[in-house]
Amino acid sequence: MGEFQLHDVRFFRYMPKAIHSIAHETTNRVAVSRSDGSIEIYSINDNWYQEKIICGDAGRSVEAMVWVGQRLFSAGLHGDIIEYGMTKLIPKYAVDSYGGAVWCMAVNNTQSSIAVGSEDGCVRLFEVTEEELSYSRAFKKQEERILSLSWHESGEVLVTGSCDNIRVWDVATGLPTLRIKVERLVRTRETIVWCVAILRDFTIVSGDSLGKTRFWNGKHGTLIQSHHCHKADVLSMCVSKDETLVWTAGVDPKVIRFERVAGKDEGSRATWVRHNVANRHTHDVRALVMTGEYVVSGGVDMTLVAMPVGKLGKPSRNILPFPQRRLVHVAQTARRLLFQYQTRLELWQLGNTTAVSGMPDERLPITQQPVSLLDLKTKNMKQIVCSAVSGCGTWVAYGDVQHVRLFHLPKEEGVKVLQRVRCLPIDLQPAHHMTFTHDASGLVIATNQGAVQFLRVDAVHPILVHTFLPPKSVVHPTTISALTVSSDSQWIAAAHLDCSVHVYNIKARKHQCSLPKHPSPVSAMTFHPTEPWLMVVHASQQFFEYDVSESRYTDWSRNVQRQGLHREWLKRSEVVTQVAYHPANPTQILLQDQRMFCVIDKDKKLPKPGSQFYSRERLMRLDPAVREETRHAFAVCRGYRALLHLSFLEDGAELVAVERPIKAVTDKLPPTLSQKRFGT
Amino acid sequence: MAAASDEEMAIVQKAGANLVSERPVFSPDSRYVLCCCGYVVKVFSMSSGECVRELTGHKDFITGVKINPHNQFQAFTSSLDKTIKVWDYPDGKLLKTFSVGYPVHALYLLKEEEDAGYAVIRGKDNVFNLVKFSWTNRKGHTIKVETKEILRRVSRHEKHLAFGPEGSFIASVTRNKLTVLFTKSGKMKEFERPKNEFQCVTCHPTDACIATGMQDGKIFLWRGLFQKREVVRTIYHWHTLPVGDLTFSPEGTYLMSVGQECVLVLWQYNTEKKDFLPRMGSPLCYISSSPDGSLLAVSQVENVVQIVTRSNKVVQVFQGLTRVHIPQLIRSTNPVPTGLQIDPRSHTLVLNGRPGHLQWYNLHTDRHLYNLDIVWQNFVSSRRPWEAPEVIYTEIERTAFDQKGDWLATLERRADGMMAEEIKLKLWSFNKEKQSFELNTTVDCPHQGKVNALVFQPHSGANLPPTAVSAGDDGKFKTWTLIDDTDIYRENVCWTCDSVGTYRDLAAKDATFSEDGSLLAVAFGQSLTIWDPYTLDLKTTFCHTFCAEKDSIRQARFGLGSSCHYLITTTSSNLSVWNILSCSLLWTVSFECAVLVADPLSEYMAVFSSTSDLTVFKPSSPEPVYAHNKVVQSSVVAAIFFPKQDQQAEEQTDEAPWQKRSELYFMTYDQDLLTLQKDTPQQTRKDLTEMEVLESNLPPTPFSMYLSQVRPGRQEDDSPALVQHGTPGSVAIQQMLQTPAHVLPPVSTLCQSFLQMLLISKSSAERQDDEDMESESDEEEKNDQSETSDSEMEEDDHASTVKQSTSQSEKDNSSHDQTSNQSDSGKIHLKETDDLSSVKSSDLSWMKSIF
Repeated sequence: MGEFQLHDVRFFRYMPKAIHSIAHETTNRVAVSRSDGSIEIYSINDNWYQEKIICGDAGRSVEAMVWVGQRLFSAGLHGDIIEYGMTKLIPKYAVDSYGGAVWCMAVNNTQSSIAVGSEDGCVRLFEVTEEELSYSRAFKKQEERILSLSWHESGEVLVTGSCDNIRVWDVATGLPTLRIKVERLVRTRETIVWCVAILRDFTIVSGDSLGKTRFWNGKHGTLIQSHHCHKADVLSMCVSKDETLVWTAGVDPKVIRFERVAGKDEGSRATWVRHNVANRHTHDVRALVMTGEYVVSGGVDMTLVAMPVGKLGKPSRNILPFPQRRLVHVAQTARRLLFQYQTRLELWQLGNTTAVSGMPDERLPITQQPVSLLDLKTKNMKQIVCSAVSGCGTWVAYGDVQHVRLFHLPKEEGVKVLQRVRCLPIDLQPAHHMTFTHDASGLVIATNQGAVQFLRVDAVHPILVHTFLPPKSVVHPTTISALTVSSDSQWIAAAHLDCSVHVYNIKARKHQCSLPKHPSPVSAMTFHPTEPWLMVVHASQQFFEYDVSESRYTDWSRNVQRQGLHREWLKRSEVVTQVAYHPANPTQILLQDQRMFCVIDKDKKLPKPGSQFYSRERLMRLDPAVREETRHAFAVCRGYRALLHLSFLEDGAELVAVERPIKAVTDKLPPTLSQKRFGT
Repeated sequence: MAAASDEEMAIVQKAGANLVSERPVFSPDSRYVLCCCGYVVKVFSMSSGECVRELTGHKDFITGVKINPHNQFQAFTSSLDKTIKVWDYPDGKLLKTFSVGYPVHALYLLKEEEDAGYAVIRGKDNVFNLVKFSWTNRKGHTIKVETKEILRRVSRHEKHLAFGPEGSFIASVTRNKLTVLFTKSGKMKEFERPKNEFQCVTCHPTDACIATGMQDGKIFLWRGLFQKREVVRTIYHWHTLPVGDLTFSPEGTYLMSVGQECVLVLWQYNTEKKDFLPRMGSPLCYISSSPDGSLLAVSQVENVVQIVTRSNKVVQVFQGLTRVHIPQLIRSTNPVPTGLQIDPRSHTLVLNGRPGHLQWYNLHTDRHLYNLDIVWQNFVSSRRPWEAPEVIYTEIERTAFDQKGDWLATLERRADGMMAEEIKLKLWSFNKEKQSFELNTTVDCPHQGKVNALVFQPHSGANLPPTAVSAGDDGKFKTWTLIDDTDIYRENVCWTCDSVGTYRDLAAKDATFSEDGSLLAVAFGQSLTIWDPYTLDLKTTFCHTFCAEKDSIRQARFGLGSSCHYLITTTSSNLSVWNILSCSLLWTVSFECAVLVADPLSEYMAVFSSTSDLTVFKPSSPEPVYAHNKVVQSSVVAAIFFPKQDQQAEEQTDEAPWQKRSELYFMTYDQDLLTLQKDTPQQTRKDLTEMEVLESNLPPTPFSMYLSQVRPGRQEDDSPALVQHGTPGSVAIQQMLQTPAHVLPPVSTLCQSFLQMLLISKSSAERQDDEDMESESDEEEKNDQSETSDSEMEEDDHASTVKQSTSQSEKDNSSHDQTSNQSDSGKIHLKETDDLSSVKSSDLSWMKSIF
């Protein structure tokens, strides 16, 4: 690794949002909804890669989500049930719930109908048809709102939880067959059953506002067991596939695992036993989902926690609440930073120093403070999907779910007028990704239909030069997950979620080639500054360097693949979010994820299988002879809490690191449930 | 005298044994509690709190007692003497002895196996193994049993092993590992906790559930042992200190845990509810539940067993000699810094007890009397080992009683190494109304630094104010006297410092008064200075010039009685005797002396070396009267000559001359209070309870009630014919001959009863009943012999029949006394013969009234 001046930027005050619900899909994807109505879709198999983000809307809340096959439905307090288009990442259509705010939603085992519990106390069934959702019928109305519901495996019985009551319904007649009254602790204060589940053997599990997890006999309505493990409301619950494990969590942010323990003989009754308690959250846990391999939990503290189910003691995984896509863009020559918040953009001029570094790790005095140049709010508080800034820092573009907007910031001294470029071509489609070419002459947009558009940037009259469509063989192009343009503005590469990467030639306006398919989606890619080489990093931590002009992997990449990547590199949990070549010395490649960054030096030898990835501090402490011996191509810098962005400035001697320590985020949260701890 | 020293005397533990070395055990009807107590098992009555039986017979420490699950009147005991014995504990009879061949460290009996048990033995290679022993179809009193190894390498503590319901599995914990052996399949499962240590284990009575207590205070519940999947481990964490012991209630609804927090925690099984019984007084080490679950026995490390009901009420306390348990004292060389003292008023032993308390202990009745709180500070349980700093307790370092027991001086000190030392001298006066000591004067910081001696001046009848002397490391000795502190509001007296003496700036290591209080000897370095206590004139100085340079005097004592003109000093290498009259060194021997004590009633003195060798000597001669090498393995930290209770009986007993008036008690480092005794069968308190009739343990069924009505008649008919041994009245003759002639009453007074005795043996019809009664009244006589007052005996909780007979015989006694005009003193043996005869001569009408 060479020597860099590092700008440690901490003034990006991005606030993630609380998690409201989680839904698990059969292909091992997880949809996570946040309090601003946005939905994130993670692929667990691809190393928790954040595949898609469906932007929310101010008028939309997501309280419950349901996957029917690959189709995602959500419902919320606004009273609509929405299905989303999974390519365009926008709502397809909405169906009224006919009962006001929706609190809970569940699909039956055959995935043919969705039951919706709503404010008016009615359970309504919706049939899932090929095209859309159609209202089927309503159950008998009850007084209290329905807060939780669960289908029995047979699809004939439904159990709902509401204030003071648990009801078991016959689906065929729509009438309740059993009503279980839950006791109140204080006579005037109702007990709310926040979550309920019915098992195959008609055992009903309920979690209520008293903090009790209870196991009922669903046929007779008798209480089997009651565990008072939580200090406050039990908000969420999930059951394992074989129905021997139940997890509960709530305001008291412990995730408690209950296990069904068979008696020591065949005949004796099985009991539910509290197993271990996981203390991974600091605030209310709103959602808890079992995905087979993991128990995924999320809540007010925004972090998604995946706890492995199998053997105890395996480390759980925290998925940071920041999007894995770019939120920060750097104007390399102008030394400006563009920060993308949910509904606004900020443009900053980087600070500067005149001091010359003497020692490594020395903190240099700032002679020129960073300046905020621009604070741009979107119209009607629309959420921003993507944004970009040109290298000279004069062009800023962003896209929301409907439009692309382009702004010009003339460079003349003293003039600080932002000009919106109004006459954008009518054919410009809503963008998922966008980037300026290196000379700021063009804007490359990845559209929500899987195409790539090239826009010639002009302050007065921008022209849509060409729309690059994926080759004809691809019938339904999938969402583009990454987009990059070469520095000589000749090549555009677009990576799709179906793991394909297409390279387009701008000058020839044609599809140049497609990279060989790798089973894992591309999480980051970049072009070599001088050569027509494309560096592609996949979510599975594999990376390739591909010569797009000759349609072959480069020799170095072949060499790396032949030797195989080091185990220590592959076992990292985070997905690489950015990759960049050193502008001055392109043998060095910078890879960054949310917790570390790594500089790969192509000239150095690759690490031997048994060798260690020492940190820089560790290396410095080693004996010089040993140090040289242990040095290899991978230079790793760990220890970041949440590294959102890392890139070179123009000359390559300076690095910009944008950090958002998770502590700074959680400090802004409301106080947690006060719990007595020993010694306080 | 030399002959006496040849006879080896046995070291016995007469009183103050450790009740809490093992788990206490309830009898099936919860009327008795059995506690292992050194070499014996004590059976305590739940209703009275008295020790009603002692099961004696083992020759080494008893390691466990268990009730036979198939016969509720039998108890099994295991011992390090390689045997397991079966007792009829209500009667205190030894039934069987199983010879195991190895020291037995723990014993387990299962309900499912009628003639087999489990024991933890120390095998050949010093490995503790769990073995099964069986006594099927083996007849005889002493049986050699075969052992079959079940589990190797277990822990020797009883609480480290537990049996599952119906013996389906065995759970054993060693340091970091829990091993579960399934008895049916023979399979084993092991669970390791590398960073934690297992402290105790217990099994649920019906569920397949193991509870283990951990060192970091967690309780693990292991369930799902029989399933293929991973075992379910639930953590319950309340304790901060290591969990001491765990037990389930018999029905399995509660789990009880104890620890050093002095809190009994009751966990409701399978729910998160818990209940506490706080402020138990001292750290808890064992807990056991009665078979019906209504009572809990909680052992405290300070040698107390408390019986607690399920409504968290303490209903009974069995208290032994309180053991010092605070870590700072246990770690020091002397856990009992005050030494052993006698309260002159009550003739009881006074020593350190609970933290900051003094305890009064009656050695003769083996009864703890009371604790006196000296420092008035709450007991704070210790911190976790890794949490510095450690809790430092204020401890009483010196105590002294004045001659009559009216005043008590205590000296407490707290030194945590950070702050200045807190030293307080407190003087307590005895309040006759309240029958306890009351604080009179507190002196803050009487000396700078450690106080080495605190003594009262003995006054021989002179009408002088009481005076005490303290000597400390600051080189001063101070005399404290009582002065009048009366003002217009109240009449009062208080103590004040009268004078201060120093000698060459040397640290004062010891101070002592001569027997009459006329001389005060203070040890300064190598010099022993003699002062006039009234004027504080330095009379003379004895210098230990023959000793090495740094060899300063440790202890100084005046001789007593006929050798009161001798002054004995000890240094770390020498024992020297000085004659005060001639002001010369009488003799000196090279002896590494640790403890030096004088008999207040004779001139003998005893000295313990640092290697626990005992030497008894007279100050007048360097020749030892008695020597006993290596009395105990550990060191002796304190000793006392304790006056015998019955000074009159001294002539009769066959004791060494130096033990005639007082018994030498000494305390070891392990806080065992031991004494020396000739190898005669133990002949004191222990036998007298032997024949007490224990209440029947049978539940009152209608049949048994009917039986109890019928039984008296049957007894009269069927009681086994007693055979008359020897000549009639031989007992009386023997005793008459043993009694020294000069204390015998005139022959004329003896004649009538003696003759009557002979006559009665010939009447045949009522003979058998008489014999019956005789044996009982025999016991009563022995009672009389040992108990000083009749009133005390009345308090004893005897069975109703015995009581009746007692009162009756007393009545007879008194009537007899009137006729025979005996003098009161020294007639006990005569009285016995009288009792015998009177019982026999009396009609049986009173017996009929009982039945």
